[in-house]
Amino acid sequence: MKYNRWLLLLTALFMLTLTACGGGSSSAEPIPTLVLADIQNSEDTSSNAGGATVSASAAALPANSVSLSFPFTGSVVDIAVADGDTVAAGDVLVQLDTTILQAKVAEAEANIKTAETQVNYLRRITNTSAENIQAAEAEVARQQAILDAALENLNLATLTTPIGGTVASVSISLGETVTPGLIVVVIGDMSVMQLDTSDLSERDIPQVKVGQTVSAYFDALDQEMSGKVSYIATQASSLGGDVVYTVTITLDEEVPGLRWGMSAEVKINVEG
Amino acid sequence: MKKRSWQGLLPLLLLIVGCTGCTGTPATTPAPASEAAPVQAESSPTDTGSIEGVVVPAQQSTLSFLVGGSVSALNIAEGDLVQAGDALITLSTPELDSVVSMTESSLDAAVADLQYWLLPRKYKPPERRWLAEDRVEAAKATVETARAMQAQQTLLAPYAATVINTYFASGEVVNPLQVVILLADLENLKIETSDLSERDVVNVKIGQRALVYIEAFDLEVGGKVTAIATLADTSTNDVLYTATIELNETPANLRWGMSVTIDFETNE
Repeated sequence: MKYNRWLLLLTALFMLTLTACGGGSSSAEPIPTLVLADIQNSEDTSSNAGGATVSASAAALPANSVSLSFPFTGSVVDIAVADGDTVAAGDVLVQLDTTILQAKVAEAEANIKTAETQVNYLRRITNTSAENIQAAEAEVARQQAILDAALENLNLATLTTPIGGTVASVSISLGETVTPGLIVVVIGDMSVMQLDTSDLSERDIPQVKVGQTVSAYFDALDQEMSGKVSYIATQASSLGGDVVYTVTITLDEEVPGLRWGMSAEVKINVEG
Repeated sequence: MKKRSWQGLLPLLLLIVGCTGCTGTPATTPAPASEAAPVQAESSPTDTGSIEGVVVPAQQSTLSFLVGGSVSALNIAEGDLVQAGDALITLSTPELDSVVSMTESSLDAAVADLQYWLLPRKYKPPERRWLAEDRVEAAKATVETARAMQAQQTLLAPYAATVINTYFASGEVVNPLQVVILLADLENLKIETSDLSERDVVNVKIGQRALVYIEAFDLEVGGKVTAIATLADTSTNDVLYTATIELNETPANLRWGMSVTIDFETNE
Protein backbone atom coordinates (compact mmCIF):
# COMPACT_ATOMS: atom_id res chain seq x y z
CA MET A 1 0.00 0.00 0.00
CA LYS A 2 2.78 2.39 0.95
CA TYR A 3 4.68 1.42 -2.17
CA ASN A 4 1.63 2.14 -4.24
CA ARG A 5 1.28 5.65 -2.85
CA TRP A 6 4.85 6.50 -3.77
CA LEU A 7 4.21 5.22 -7.22
CA LEU A 8 1.12 7.41 -7.46
CA LEU A 9 3.00 10.50 -6.36
CA LEU A 10 5.71 9.83 -8.90
CA THR A 11 3.21 9.39 -11.72
CA ALA A 12 1.42 12.57 -10.67
CA LEU A 13 4.73 14.47 -10.79
CA PHE A 14 5.50 12.97 -14.17
CA MET A 15 2.14 14.07 -15.55
CA LEU A 16 2.66 17.58 -14.20
CA THR A 17 6.01 17.95 -15.94
CA LEU A 18 4.43 16.62 -19.10
CA THR A 19 1.70 19.26 -19.10
CA ALA A 20 4.29 21.94 -18.37
CA CYS A 21 6.26 20.78 -21.35
CA GLY A 22 3.19 20.86 -23.52
CA GLY A 23 2.53 24.46 -22.59
CA GLY A 24 6.08 25.48 -23.38
CA SER A 25 6.13 23.95 -26.82
CA SER A 26 2.85 25.55 -27.81
CA SER A 27 4.19 29.01 -26.96
CA ALA A 28 7.15 28.52 -29.30
CA GLU A 29 4.84 27.69 -32.18
CA PRO A 30 4.32 30.40 -34.80
CA ILE A 31 0.90 31.67 -35.80
CA PRO A 32 -1.65 28.90 -35.54
CA THR A 33 -2.70 27.82 -38.98
CA LEU A 34 -6.09 26.18 -38.86
CA VAL A 35 -6.11 22.61 -40.05
CA LEU A 36 -9.11 20.85 -41.44
CA ALA A 37 -10.10 19.49 -38.04
CA ASP A 38 -10.70 23.06 -36.91
CA ILE A 39 -12.89 23.83 -39.87
CA GLN A 40 -15.06 20.90 -38.98
CA ASN A 41 -15.17 22.09 -35.39
CA SER A 42 -16.17 25.57 -36.48
CA GLU A 43 -19.86 24.81 -36.13
CA ASP A 44 -19.45 24.12 -32.42
CA THR A 45 -17.57 27.37 -31.80
CA SER A 46 -19.96 29.37 -33.92
CA SER A 47 -23.10 28.12 -32.19
CA ASN A 48 -22.50 30.49 -29.29
CA ALA A 49 -21.78 33.37 -31.68
CA GLY A 50 -25.19 33.19 -33.37
CA GLY A 51 -24.90 31.91 -36.97
CA ALA A 52 -22.87 29.21 -38.63
CA THR A 53 -19.41 30.21 -39.78
CA VAL A 54 -16.67 28.74 -41.90
CA SER A 55 -13.09 29.43 -40.79
CA ALA A 56 -9.97 29.63 -42.91
CA SER A 57 -6.45 31.00 -42.98
CA ALA A 58 -5.84 33.92 -45.30
CA ALA A 59 -3.10 36.32 -46.38
CA ALA A 60 -3.39 40.04 -47.11
CA LEU A 61 -2.49 41.37 -50.54
CA PRO A 62 -3.25 44.52 -52.52
CA ALA A 63 -6.41 44.38 -54.63
CA ASN A 64 -4.46 45.91 -57.49
CA SER A 65 -0.87 44.90 -58.26
CA VAL A 66 1.40 44.48 -61.28
CA SER A 67 4.59 42.51 -61.99
CA LEU A 68 6.48 44.41 -64.66
CA SER A 69 9.06 43.17 -67.17
CA PHE A 70 10.74 44.20 -70.42
CA PRO A 71 9.74 42.75 -73.80
CA PHE A 72 13.37 42.34 -74.95
CA THR A 73 16.87 41.78 -73.65
CA GLY A 74 19.01 44.70 -72.59
CA SER A 75 21.33 45.89 -69.87
CA VAL A 76 20.12 48.02 -66.98
CA VAL A 77 21.71 51.48 -66.78
CA ASP A 78 19.42 53.14 -64.23
CA ILE A 79 17.09 52.02 -61.46
CA ALA A 80 14.96 54.95 -60.34
CA VAL A 81 13.05 53.26 -57.50
CA ALA A 82 13.74 51.16 -54.42
CA ASP A 83 11.62 48.80 -52.36
CA GLY A 84 9.04 50.79 -50.40
CA ASP A 85 8.99 53.86 -52.68
CA THR A 86 5.64 55.38 -53.56
CA VAL A 87 5.08 55.78 -57.30
CA ALA A 88 2.37 57.38 -59.44
CA ALA A 89 1.05 55.92 -62.70
CA GLY A 90 3.53 56.71 -65.51
CA ASP A 91 6.60 57.07 -63.29
CA VAL A 92 9.88 55.74 -64.68
CA LEU A 93 11.15 52.66 -62.83
CA VAL A 94 14.05 51.11 -64.77
CA GLN A 95 16.02 52.28 -67.80
CA LEU A 96 17.83 50.00 -70.25
CA ASP A 97 20.88 50.98 -72.29
CA THR A 98 19.62 52.67 -75.48
CA THR A 99 22.89 53.21 -77.40
CA ILE A 100 22.00 50.73 -80.16
CA LEU A 101 18.33 51.71 -80.24
CA GLN A 102 19.23 55.39 -80.65
CA ALA A 103 21.72 54.53 -83.42
CA LYS A 104 18.97 52.61 -85.21
CA VAL A 105 16.63 55.63 -84.94
CA ALA A 106 19.33 57.91 -86.41
CA GLU A 107 19.97 55.39 -89.19
CA ALA A 108 16.26 55.22 -90.10
CA GLU A 109 16.00 59.01 -90.07
CA ALA A 110 18.99 59.33 -92.45
CA ASN A 111 17.49 56.68 -94.74
CA ILE A 112 14.14 58.54 -94.86
CA LYS A 113 15.92 61.73 -95.88
CA THR A 114 17.78 59.91 -98.66
CA ALA A 115 14.57 58.29 -99.94
CA GLU A 116 12.76 61.64 -99.94
CA THR A 117 15.56 63.32 -101.93
CA GLN A 118 15.31 60.51 -104.46
CA VAL A 119 11.54 61.03 -104.81
CA ASN A 120 11.96 64.76 -105.31
CA TYR A 121 14.65 64.21 -107.96
CA LEU A 122 12.58 61.70 -109.91
CA ARG A 123 9.56 64.04 -109.86
CA ARG A 124 11.56 66.97 -111.29
CA ILE A 125 13.24 65.25 -114.19
CA THR A 126 10.98 64.62 -117.15
CA ASN A 127 12.08 61.21 -118.39
CA THR A 128 11.03 59.14 -115.33
CA SER A 129 8.24 56.63 -115.43
CA ALA A 130 5.41 56.68 -112.86
CA GLU A 131 6.54 53.26 -111.61
CA ASN A 132 9.96 54.62 -110.71
CA ILE A 133 8.37 57.40 -108.66
CA GLN A 134 6.01 54.96 -106.98
CA ALA A 135 8.91 52.68 -106.08
CA ALA A 136 10.81 55.62 -104.59
CA GLU A 137 7.73 56.69 -102.60
CA ALA A 138 7.32 53.14 -101.31
CA GLU A 139 10.93 53.28 -100.13
CA VAL A 140 10.11 56.41 -98.08
CA ALA A 141 7.16 54.61 -96.50
CA ARG A 142 9.32 51.56 -95.76
CA GLN A 143 11.98 53.65 -94.04
CA GLN A 144 9.25 55.49 -92.11
CA ALA A 145 7.94 52.15 -90.83
CA ILE A 146 11.47 51.16 -89.75
CA LEU A 147 11.78 54.50 -87.91
CA ASP A 148 8.42 53.97 -86.15
CA ALA A 149 9.53 50.54 -84.97
CA ALA A 150 12.87 51.91 -83.77
CA LEU A 151 11.15 54.73 -81.87
CA GLU A 152 8.73 52.26 -80.27
CA ASN A 153 11.63 50.04 -79.16
CA LEU A 154 13.32 53.11 -77.72
CA ASN A 155 10.18 53.80 -75.66
CA LEU A 156 10.00 50.19 -74.45
CA ALA A 157 13.55 50.46 -73.09
CA THR A 158 12.11 52.65 -70.31
CA LEU A 159 9.95 50.76 -67.84
CA THR A 160 7.09 52.85 -66.46
CA THR A 161 4.36 51.83 -64.04
CA PRO A 162 0.76 51.63 -65.27
CA ILE A 163 -0.62 51.98 -61.74
CA GLY A 164 0.19 54.09 -58.71
CA GLY A 165 1.20 52.35 -55.50
CA THR A 166 4.15 51.10 -53.49
CA VAL A 167 7.20 49.38 -54.95
CA ALA A 168 7.12 45.92 -53.38
CA SER A 169 10.20 44.44 -55.00
CA VAL A 170 13.02 45.40 -57.35
CA SER A 171 14.69 42.20 -58.50
CA ILE A 172 17.39 43.62 -60.75
CA SER A 173 20.69 45.42 -60.11
CA LEU A 174 22.59 48.05 -62.05
CA GLY A 175 24.50 46.59 -65.01
CA GLU A 176 22.55 43.34 -65.06
CA THR A 177 20.87 41.94 -68.15
CA VAL A 178 17.10 41.59 -68.43
CA THR A 179 15.40 38.98 -70.58
CA PRO A 180 11.88 39.17 -72.04
CA GLY A 181 9.29 38.44 -69.36
CA LEU A 182 11.76 38.47 -66.45
CA ILE A 183 9.89 40.27 -63.66
CA VAL A 184 12.00 43.22 -62.57
CA VAL A 185 9.61 45.34 -60.48
CA VAL A 186 6.46 44.48 -58.52
CA ILE A 187 4.09 47.29 -57.58
CA GLY A 188 1.01 47.06 -55.38
CA ASP A 189 -1.58 49.64 -54.44
CA MET A 190 -1.41 49.17 -50.67
CA SER A 191 -4.32 51.54 -50.01
CA VAL A 192 -6.87 48.87 -50.99
CA MET A 193 -6.07 45.49 -49.48
CA GLN A 194 -7.90 42.20 -49.74
CA LEU A 195 -7.58 38.76 -48.17
CA ASP A 196 -7.13 35.51 -50.08
CA THR A 197 -7.88 32.29 -48.21
CA SER A 198 -5.39 29.46 -48.51
CA ASP A 199 -7.09 26.41 -46.97
CA LEU A 200 -10.85 26.59 -47.56
CA SER A 201 -11.72 23.04 -48.59
CA GLU A 202 -14.23 21.80 -51.13
CA ARG A 203 -16.47 20.55 -48.28
CA ASP A 204 -16.98 24.10 -46.97
CA ILE A 205 -17.15 25.95 -50.27
CA PRO A 206 -20.86 25.20 -51.07
CA GLN A 207 -21.90 27.24 -48.03
CA VAL A 208 -19.82 30.27 -49.03
CA LYS A 209 -21.54 32.90 -51.20
CA VAL A 210 -20.38 36.23 -52.60
CA GLY A 211 -21.54 39.07 -50.34
CA GLN A 212 -21.42 37.15 -47.05
CA THR A 213 -19.94 39.08 -44.15
CA VAL A 214 -16.57 38.06 -42.80
CA SER A 215 -14.68 38.82 -39.63
CA ALA A 216 -10.91 38.68 -40.02
CA TYR A 217 -8.46 38.55 -37.14
CA PHE A 218 -4.90 39.75 -37.80
CA ASP A 219 -2.64 38.12 -35.26
CA ALA A 220 0.34 40.39 -36.01
CA LEU A 221 -1.72 43.54 -35.45
CA ASP A 222 -3.98 41.94 -32.77
CA GLN A 223 -6.91 43.49 -34.59
CA GLU A 224 -10.29 42.29 -35.79
CA MET A 225 -11.66 43.70 -39.06
CA SER A 226 -14.86 43.14 -40.98
CA GLY A 227 -15.18 42.47 -44.69
CA LYS A 228 -17.20 40.78 -47.39
CA VAL A 229 -16.72 37.81 -49.69
CA SER A 230 -16.11 39.39 -53.11
CA TYR A 231 -14.98 36.43 -55.20
CA ILE A 232 -14.80 32.65 -55.04
CA ALA A 233 -12.25 30.94 -57.28
CA THR A 234 -13.85 28.96 -60.08
CA GLN A 235 -10.87 26.65 -60.32
CA ALA A 236 -9.63 24.55 -57.43
CA SER A 237 -6.07 24.36 -56.23
CA SER A 238 -4.54 21.71 -54.02
CA LEU A 239 -3.03 22.11 -50.57
CA GLY A 240 -1.30 19.08 -49.15
CA GLY A 241 -3.53 16.68 -51.07
CA ASP A 242 -6.74 18.49 -50.22
CA VAL A 243 -8.88 20.36 -52.76
CA VAL A 244 -9.12 24.01 -51.76
CA TYR A 245 -10.73 27.07 -53.31
CA THR A 246 -9.36 30.58 -52.89
CA VAL A 247 -11.98 32.96 -51.54
CA THR A 248 -11.28 36.69 -51.89
CA ILE A 249 -12.45 38.96 -49.11
CA THR A 250 -12.65 42.73 -49.50
CA LEU A 251 -12.01 44.58 -46.26
CA ASP A 252 -14.54 47.24 -45.23
CA GLU A 253 -11.88 49.66 -44.00
CA GLU A 254 -8.20 50.38 -44.54
CA VAL A 255 -6.11 48.55 -41.93
CA PRO A 256 -3.22 50.70 -40.70
CA GLY A 257 0.07 48.81 -40.50
CA LEU A 258 -1.12 45.95 -42.68
CA ARG A 259 1.63 44.60 -44.93
CA TRP A 260 1.56 42.46 -48.06
CA GLY A 261 1.59 38.80 -46.99
CA MET A 262 0.40 39.22 -43.38
CA SER A 263 -1.73 36.32 -42.23
CA ALA A 264 -5.26 36.45 -40.89
CA GLU A 265 -7.84 34.03 -39.54
CA VAL A 266 -11.17 34.62 -41.24
CA LYS A 267 -14.63 33.53 -40.18
CA ILE A 268 -17.23 33.68 -42.95
CA ASN A 269 -20.83 34.00 -41.72
CA VAL A 270 -22.47 31.48 -44.00
CA GLU A 271 -25.98 32.07 -42.61
CA GLY A 272 -26.98 35.52 -43.65
CA MET B 1 -4.52 -7.50 -4.03
CA LYS B 2 -6.93 -6.92 -6.85
CA LYS B 3 -8.75 -4.26 -4.89
CA ARG B 4 -5.56 -2.41 -4.01
CA SER B 5 -4.40 -2.10 -7.60
CA TRP B 6 -7.76 -0.60 -8.50
CA GLN B 7 -7.39 1.98 -5.77
CA GLY B 8 -4.06 3.02 -7.22
CA LEU B 9 -5.30 3.22 -10.78
CA LEU B 10 -8.37 5.36 -10.20
CA PRO B 11 -6.63 8.63 -9.25
CA LEU B 12 -4.11 8.04 -12.01
CA LEU B 13 -6.93 7.77 -14.51
CA LEU B 14 -8.50 10.95 -13.13
CA LEU B 15 -5.18 12.73 -13.50
CA ILE B 16 -4.83 11.69 -17.11
CA VAL B 17 -8.37 12.83 -17.90
CA GLY B 18 -7.72 16.12 -16.15
CA CYS B 19 -4.50 16.68 -18.05
CA THR B 20 -5.95 15.97 -21.47
CA GLY B 21 -8.87 18.19 -20.63
CA CYS B 22 -6.53 21.05 -19.81
CA THR B 23 -4.33 20.72 -22.89
CA GLY B 24 -7.33 19.96 -25.07
CA THR B 25 -9.03 23.33 -24.73
CA PRO B 26 -6.26 25.62 -26.01
CA ALA B 27 -5.63 23.24 -28.88
CA THR B 28 -9.11 23.37 -30.35
CA THR B 29 -9.53 27.13 -30.16
CA PRO B 30 -6.70 29.04 -31.85
CA ALA B 31 -6.73 31.47 -28.87
CA PRO B 32 -4.59 34.27 -30.30
CA ALA B 33 -4.37 35.94 -26.90
CA SER B 34 -2.44 33.02 -25.45
CA GLU B 35 -0.08 33.11 -28.45
CA ALA B 36 0.69 36.77 -28.02
CA ALA B 37 1.57 36.45 -24.35
CA PRO B 38 4.79 34.43 -24.71
CA VAL B 39 6.10 36.81 -27.38
CA GLN B 40 5.84 39.70 -24.97
CA ALA B 41 7.37 37.65 -22.20
CA GLU B 42 10.42 36.89 -24.36
CA SER B 43 11.27 40.53 -24.96
CA SER B 44 12.11 42.50 -21.89
CA PRO B 45 13.92 45.63 -23.15
CA THR B 46 12.34 45.92 -26.61
CA ASP B 47 9.10 45.04 -28.32
CA THR B 48 10.61 42.59 -30.74
CA GLY B 49 13.34 40.83 -28.81
CA SER B 50 16.57 39.97 -30.57
CA ILE B 51 16.39 39.53 -34.32
CA GLU B 52 18.99 37.68 -36.36
CA GLY B 53 20.62 39.44 -39.27
CA VAL B 54 23.41 39.22 -41.80
CA VAL B 55 25.92 41.66 -43.32
CA VAL B 56 25.23 42.33 -47.02
CA PRO B 57 26.69 44.73 -49.62
CA ALA B 58 24.79 47.92 -50.48
CA GLN B 59 24.41 46.59 -54.00
CA GLN B 60 25.54 43.61 -56.02
CA SER B 61 25.23 42.70 -59.69
CA THR B 62 25.65 39.55 -61.72
CA LEU B 63 26.84 40.73 -65.11
CA SER B 64 26.40 38.97 -68.44
CA PHE B 65 26.96 39.63 -72.13
CA LEU B 66 24.19 40.20 -74.66
CA VAL B 67 26.40 38.63 -77.34
CA GLY B 68 28.42 35.44 -77.43
CA GLY B 69 32.11 34.94 -78.13
CA SER B 70 35.37 33.74 -76.65
CA VAL B 71 37.06 35.74 -73.90
CA SER B 72 39.91 37.71 -75.51
CA ALA B 73 40.82 39.97 -72.60
CA LEU B 74 40.24 39.39 -68.92
CA ASN B 75 41.28 42.66 -67.28
CA ILE B 76 40.33 41.80 -63.72
CA ALA B 77 40.85 39.17 -61.06
CA GLU B 78 38.75 38.23 -58.09
CA GLY B 79 39.17 40.76 -55.29
CA ASP B 80 40.02 43.66 -57.62
CA LEU B 81 38.49 47.07 -57.02
CA VAL B 82 36.95 48.54 -60.18
CA GLN B 83 35.62 52.00 -60.97
CA ALA B 84 32.41 52.80 -62.85
CA GLY B 85 33.06 52.49 -66.60
CA ASP B 86 36.14 50.25 -66.31
CA ALA B 87 36.37 47.59 -69.02
CA LEU B 88 36.18 44.22 -67.25
CA ILE B 89 36.08 41.53 -69.93
CA THR B 90 36.27 41.70 -73.72
CA LEU B 91 35.02 39.01 -76.06
CA SER B 92 36.35 38.22 -79.50
CA THR B 93 33.33 38.68 -81.79
CA PRO B 94 34.49 38.34 -85.44
CA GLU B 95 30.97 38.72 -86.85
CA LEU B 96 30.36 42.06 -85.16
CA ASP B 97 33.83 43.23 -86.24
CA SER B 98 33.17 42.32 -89.88
CA VAL B 99 29.83 44.20 -89.83
CA VAL B 100 31.74 47.28 -88.72
CA SER B 101 34.34 46.97 -91.51
CA MET B 102 31.56 46.33 -94.04
CA THR B 103 29.67 49.47 -93.08
CA GLU B 104 32.92 51.45 -93.05
CA SER B 105 33.63 50.33 -96.64
CA SER B 106 30.11 51.39 -97.63
CA LEU B 107 30.79 54.78 -96.08
CA ASP B 108 34.05 55.07 -98.09
CA ALA B 109 32.14 54.23 -101.27
CA ALA B 110 29.46 56.80 -100.49
CA VAL B 111 32.13 59.45 -99.82
CA ALA B 112 33.84 58.64 -103.15
CA ASP B 113 30.48 58.91 -104.94
CA LEU B 114 29.91 62.31 -103.36
CA GLN B 115 33.36 63.46 -104.56
CA TYR B 116 32.26 62.70 -108.14
CA TRP B 117 29.03 64.70 -107.87
CA LEU B 118 30.87 67.59 -106.23
CA LEU B 119 33.06 68.07 -109.32
CA PRO B 120 31.74 71.08 -111.28
CA ARG B 121 30.55 69.84 -114.67
CA LYS B 122 27.72 70.42 -117.11
CA TYR B 123 24.46 68.42 -117.01
CA LYS B 124 24.86 67.49 -113.40
CA PRO B 125 21.54 67.84 -111.62
CA PRO B 126 21.98 69.24 -108.04
CA GLU B 127 19.70 66.49 -106.68
CA ARG B 128 22.31 63.87 -107.47
CA ARG B 129 24.75 65.78 -105.24
CA TRP B 130 22.14 66.10 -102.47
CA LEU B 131 21.37 62.44 -102.81
CA ALA B 132 25.07 61.59 -102.52
CA GLU B 133 25.30 63.79 -99.41
CA ASP B 134 22.28 62.05 -97.85
CA ARG B 135 23.79 58.66 -98.62
CA VAL B 136 27.01 59.62 -96.84
CA GLU B 137 24.98 60.64 -93.77
CA ALA B 138 23.02 57.39 -93.88
CA ALA B 139 26.24 55.38 -94.24
CA LYS B 140 27.71 57.20 -91.23
CA ALA B 141 24.59 56.33 -89.18
CA THR B 142 24.93 52.67 -90.21
CA VAL B 143 28.56 52.66 -89.07
CA GLU B 144 27.46 54.10 -85.72
CA THR B 145 24.90 51.30 -85.26
CA ALA B 146 27.48 48.65 -86.13
CA ARG B 147 29.96 50.19 -83.68
CA ALA B 148 27.29 50.27 -80.94
CA MET B 149 26.63 46.56 -81.58
CA GLN B 150 30.37 45.88 -81.51
CA ALA B 151 30.66 47.70 -78.17
CA GLN B 152 28.61 44.90 -76.60
CA GLN B 153 31.75 42.75 -76.77
CA THR B 154 33.14 44.67 -73.77
CA LEU B 155 31.60 44.49 -70.32
CA LEU B 156 31.88 47.73 -68.32
CA ALA B 157 31.65 48.13 -64.55
CA PRO B 158 28.30 49.80 -63.73
CA TYR B 159 29.58 51.31 -60.46
CA ALA B 160 32.61 51.27 -58.18
CA ALA B 161 32.74 47.77 -56.75
CA THR B 162 34.81 44.73 -55.86
CA VAL B 163 35.06 41.75 -58.19
CA ILE B 164 33.67 38.89 -56.10
CA ASN B 165 33.69 36.12 -58.68
CA THR B 166 34.64 35.59 -62.30
CA TYR B 167 33.24 32.51 -63.97
CA PHE B 168 35.30 32.42 -67.18
CA ALA B 169 38.97 32.28 -68.07
CA SER B 170 40.66 33.83 -71.06
CA GLY B 171 39.89 31.87 -74.25
CA GLU B 172 36.71 30.28 -72.95
CA VAL B 173 33.48 30.70 -74.90
CA VAL B 174 30.69 32.71 -73.32
CA ASN B 175 27.07 32.38 -74.43
CA PRO B 176 24.74 35.39 -74.48
CA LEU B 177 23.08 36.05 -71.07
CA GLN B 178 25.45 33.68 -69.24
CA VAL B 179 26.63 35.12 -65.93
CA VAL B 180 30.32 35.96 -66.22
CA ILE B 181 31.02 38.16 -63.20
CA LEU B 182 29.67 38.95 -59.76
CA LEU B 183 30.31 42.48 -58.54
CA ALA B 184 29.45 43.90 -55.13
CA ASP B 185 29.91 47.23 -53.43
CA LEU B 186 31.81 46.14 -50.32
CA GLU B 187 32.68 49.72 -49.34
CA ASN B 188 29.11 50.20 -48.17
CA LEU B 189 27.89 47.26 -46.13
CA LYS B 190 24.47 47.10 -44.52
CA ILE B 191 22.52 44.71 -42.31
CA GLU B 192 19.49 42.71 -43.37
CA THR B 193 17.25 40.86 -40.92
CA SER B 194 16.63 37.18 -41.55
CA ASP B 195 13.89 36.26 -39.06
CA LEU B 196 11.74 39.36 -38.55
CA SER B 197 8.24 37.88 -38.43
CA GLU B 198 4.94 39.59 -39.16
CA ARG B 199 4.27 39.91 -35.42
CA ASP B 200 7.56 41.77 -34.90
CA VAL B 201 7.57 43.90 -38.06
CA VAL B 202 4.65 45.96 -36.71
CA ASN B 203 7.00 47.26 -34.01
CA VAL B 204 9.72 48.34 -36.44
CA LYS B 205 9.60 51.72 -38.19
CA ILE B 206 11.84 53.39 -40.77
CA GLY B 207 14.26 55.71 -38.96
CA GLN B 208 14.10 53.67 -35.76
CA ARG B 209 17.42 53.18 -34.02
CA ALA B 210 18.81 49.71 -33.52
CA LEU B 211 21.72 48.13 -31.69
CA VAL B 212 23.59 45.65 -33.86
CA TYR B 213 25.73 43.07 -32.09
CA ILE B 214 28.41 41.65 -34.38
CA GLU B 215 29.28 38.20 -33.14
CA ALA B 216 32.65 37.96 -34.92
CA PHE B 217 34.06 41.04 -33.16
CA ASP B 218 31.97 40.78 -29.97
CA LEU B 219 31.06 44.38 -30.70
CA GLU B 220 27.88 46.40 -30.50
CA VAL B 221 27.32 49.12 -33.14
CA GLY B 222 24.45 51.58 -33.45
CA GLY B 223 22.41 51.79 -36.60
CA LYS B 224 19.20 52.98 -38.13
CA VAL B 225 16.37 51.22 -39.99
CA THR B 226 16.41 52.48 -43.60
CA ALA B 227 13.94 50.10 -45.26
CA ILE B 228 11.32 47.50 -44.43
CA ALA B 229 10.17 45.08 -47.11
CA THR B 230 6.66 45.67 -48.42
CA LEU B 231 6.26 42.10 -49.57
CA ALA B 232 6.58 39.16 -47.19
CA ASP B 233 8.90 36.22 -47.68
CA THR B 234 6.73 33.14 -47.20
CA SER B 235 9.30 30.56 -48.26
CA THR B 236 9.49 29.33 -44.66
CA ASN B 237 6.54 28.36 -42.44
CA ASP B 238 6.46 31.84 -40.98
CA VAL B 239 5.69 35.14 -42.69
CA LEU B 240 8.97 37.11 -42.67
CA TYR B 241 9.82 40.68 -43.69
CA THR B 242 13.35 41.89 -44.39
CA ALA B 243 14.32 45.11 -42.64
CA THR B 244 17.49 46.93 -43.69
CA ILE B 245 19.72 48.67 -41.15
CA GLU B 246 22.53 51.06 -41.95
CA LEU B 247 25.34 51.14 -39.41
CA ASN B 248 26.44 54.48 -37.96
CA GLU B 249 30.04 53.36 -38.43
CA THR B 250 31.35 50.30 -40.21
CA PRO B 251 33.95 48.39 -38.19
CA ALA B 252 37.15 47.53 -40.04
CA ASN B 253 37.24 43.97 -41.42
CA LEU B 254 33.46 43.69 -41.43
CA ARG B 255 32.72 41.08 -44.07
CA TRP B 256 29.78 40.15 -46.26
CA GLY B 257 27.87 37.27 -44.65
CA MET B 258 28.80 37.88 -41.01
CA SER B 259 26.00 37.17 -38.54
CA VAL B 260 24.60 39.79 -36.24
CA THR B 261 21.92 40.11 -33.59
CA ILE B 262 19.71 43.19 -33.69
CA ASP B 263 17.83 44.90 -30.88
CA PHE B 264 15.39 47.55 -32.05
CA GLU B 265 14.99 50.46 -29.68
CA THR B 266 11.47 51.08 -28.50
CA ASN B 267 9.89 54.42 -29.32
CA GLU B 268 8.20 55.49 -26.13
